[in-house]
Amino acid sequence: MPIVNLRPAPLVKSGELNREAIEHYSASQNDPDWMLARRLEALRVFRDTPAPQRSDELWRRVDLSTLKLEQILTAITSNSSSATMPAEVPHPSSASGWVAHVNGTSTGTYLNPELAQQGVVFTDLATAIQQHGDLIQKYLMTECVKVSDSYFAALHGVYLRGGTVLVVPAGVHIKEPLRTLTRMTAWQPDSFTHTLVVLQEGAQATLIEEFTSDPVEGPAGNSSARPPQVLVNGAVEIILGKDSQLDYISLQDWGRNVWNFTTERAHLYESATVHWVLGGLGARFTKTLLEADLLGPKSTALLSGVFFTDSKQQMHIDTQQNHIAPACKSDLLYKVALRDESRTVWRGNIRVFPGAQKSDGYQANRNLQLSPRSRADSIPGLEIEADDVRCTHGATVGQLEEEPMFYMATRGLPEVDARRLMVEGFFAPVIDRIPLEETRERLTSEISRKIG
Amino acid sequence: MDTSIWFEVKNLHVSVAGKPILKGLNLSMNAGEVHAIMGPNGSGKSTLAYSIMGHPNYTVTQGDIVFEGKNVLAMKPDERSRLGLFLAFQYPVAIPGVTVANFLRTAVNARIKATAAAQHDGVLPADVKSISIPEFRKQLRDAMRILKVDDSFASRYLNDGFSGGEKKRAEILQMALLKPQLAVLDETDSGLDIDALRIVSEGVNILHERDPQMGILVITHYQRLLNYIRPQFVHVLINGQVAESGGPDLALQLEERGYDWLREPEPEVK
Ligand SMILES: Nc1ncnc2c1ncn2[C@@H]1O[C@H](COP(=O)(O)OP(=O)(O)O)[C@@H](O)[C@H]1O
Ligand SMILES: [Mg+2]
Repeated sequence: MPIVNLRPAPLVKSGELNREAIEHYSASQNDPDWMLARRLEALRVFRDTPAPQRSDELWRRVDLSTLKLEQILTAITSNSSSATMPAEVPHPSSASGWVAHVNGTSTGTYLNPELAQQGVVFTDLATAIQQHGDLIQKYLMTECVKVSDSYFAALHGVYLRGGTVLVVPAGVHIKEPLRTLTRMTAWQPDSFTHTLVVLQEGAQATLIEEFTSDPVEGPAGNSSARPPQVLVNGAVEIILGKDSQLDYISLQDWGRNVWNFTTERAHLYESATVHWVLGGLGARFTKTLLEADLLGPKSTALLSGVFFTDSKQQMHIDTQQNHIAPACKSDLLYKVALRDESRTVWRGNIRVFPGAQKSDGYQANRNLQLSPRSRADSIPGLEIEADDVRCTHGATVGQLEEEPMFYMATRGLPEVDARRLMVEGFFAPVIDRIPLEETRERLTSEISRKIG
Repeated sequence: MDTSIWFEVKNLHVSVAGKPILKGLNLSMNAGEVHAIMGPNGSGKSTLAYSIMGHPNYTVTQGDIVFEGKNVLAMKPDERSRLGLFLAFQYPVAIPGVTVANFLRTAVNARIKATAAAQHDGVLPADVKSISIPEFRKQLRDAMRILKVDDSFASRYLNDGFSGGEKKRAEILQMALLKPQLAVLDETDSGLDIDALRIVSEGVNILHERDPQMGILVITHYQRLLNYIRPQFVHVLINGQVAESGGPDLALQLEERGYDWLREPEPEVK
């Protein structure tokens, strides 16, 4: 395999995305003028941003040669409201609030009236743009994730649609988890879901998001057709004011025809805390960039991850823990189990900026290789520009060990049950951090289903 | 095969990493009996225990193990367990992230399902039910009471960070829930103080009273344990073979005289 594949052709010919198409798209979304302007600006940036190439360190291990991006984007541009709504749309249950989406369109929202009265905003993005334009204009891709970040961030800026906005005013504590369910029907070509969370000073909340695709069964009489490629190009922006606290759990279980590119970032101001659990089970291919920017002193980011791949799934997760202010703490623990011929790459970097003294940064990536044909790469990194810091990292790749497997067998557990327990046990310390039993159980049962 | 003997180890030869450890071991037990295997360190006691359960690194090169007329050696370790064999490990293995309760419930259910499937030509009947949560809790609580462990024990990760004594209690706790027909206890006394030793052995005795047909094979290095779990038969294992068998008195004799009198004289070197 060539390490550097200089592929001169961009993924999308710049002529394909034109102003007119985006204006048309924007109109279909009932955008206000400022939103159209944002999309056109994103389009300009997108056209000026070179497509990812293997010569970039970030994309060195990634093969996008079979992604038919151009074809997918053509379908979106010409057919932006193709959603064939399913008859029945389930929604998550929560006493605080929920938002449900199908194919980028909200199918229902609920917010406890008491919370609404306290000024909490929790709704789908389109509604938020209509009803809270000033607020959204202020935060949407302006300070956290920016269109200038990358090729896929720019593309997201062009098409962003669907997703959830949570704004919690100063001092408001939301006890019960808020939940979202974002779902794609089988033949939906794309998702540009966007999550925007703003906690003002001293606010507290828990947000649990689940992303799923309906199984691809094909239209009647065409069940043998190969499912078309689906593009998910999402973004998550989390802005945490002084002393605020967020538990954010996001579980990705997209279908196996999904190419999933996400840009996710949290900005933490003084003494803010995020506990961020990222779960990845689905998609054919995932490239996630997740970043915690510790901008205010004494802020804390706890980053946990559960990833389980099988068949030929690929997951590329890049994490960045930026200690910009002094006396901050970041602690990352990502656990990955791999079956079959799946492949994962975790690249993690802790960067301590000049002046960020008393930084405490940690990152660990544990991989459990269930098949010798799977491959897990772990690439930790430290960039330290201050002198009074404590930063460590650890990465391991292990297999199922013989002694515990034998021990469990002597208790009468067939091999598949023993494996299931080993994998559940491997993930348990991370799953135990999810504050909602229903979600813990759902994730555990998805994992156990994947084991076979 | 002679099916009249309940459990029989016949002329067992076992190698580990190519090195012969058991060299023609014979042992027979009847249902309900308690036998003790004693022997110096390294004589092959744990090798026998592992071989009975089918550890993949212990290669049987000759001989047979027969339980209730069935050829145990042809079975996988999990099948042997569901047949009714159980081993309390000398060195129990940690299963991080899996709680004692979750582990045991999974094990109990695996037995229920596999047993039902075996009775229906390998096809699991649709109406087979897992153990109900209240019933499981009841059994677990009962076992925890017998072994005098705290309720929180059930929600700890199995053997992960357990003290030596806790590990041995956890082994007998598992025995209580899995209800084996033949339990092999490999140095269950090692690492226990006198109080813990009493609790654990009383636990074993209670289980034996509840199921008098259960056979117990107690492997130990010291006579001490045999004051609590009283065997009818004592066998001395030396250099991979049973060098001597007898009644309970033999254990006392060993306590006094050590093992040397039973060792074969070293071949003379010219
Ligand atoms: N996994 C192993 N690899 C190599 N040698 C082993 C292994 N297990 C046991 N042995 C050897 O087999 C012999 C018997 O060991 P063991 O059955 O554990 O004795 P005991 O339980 O009586 O102390 C010892 O010499 C020991 O070193
Ligand atoms: Mg031993």
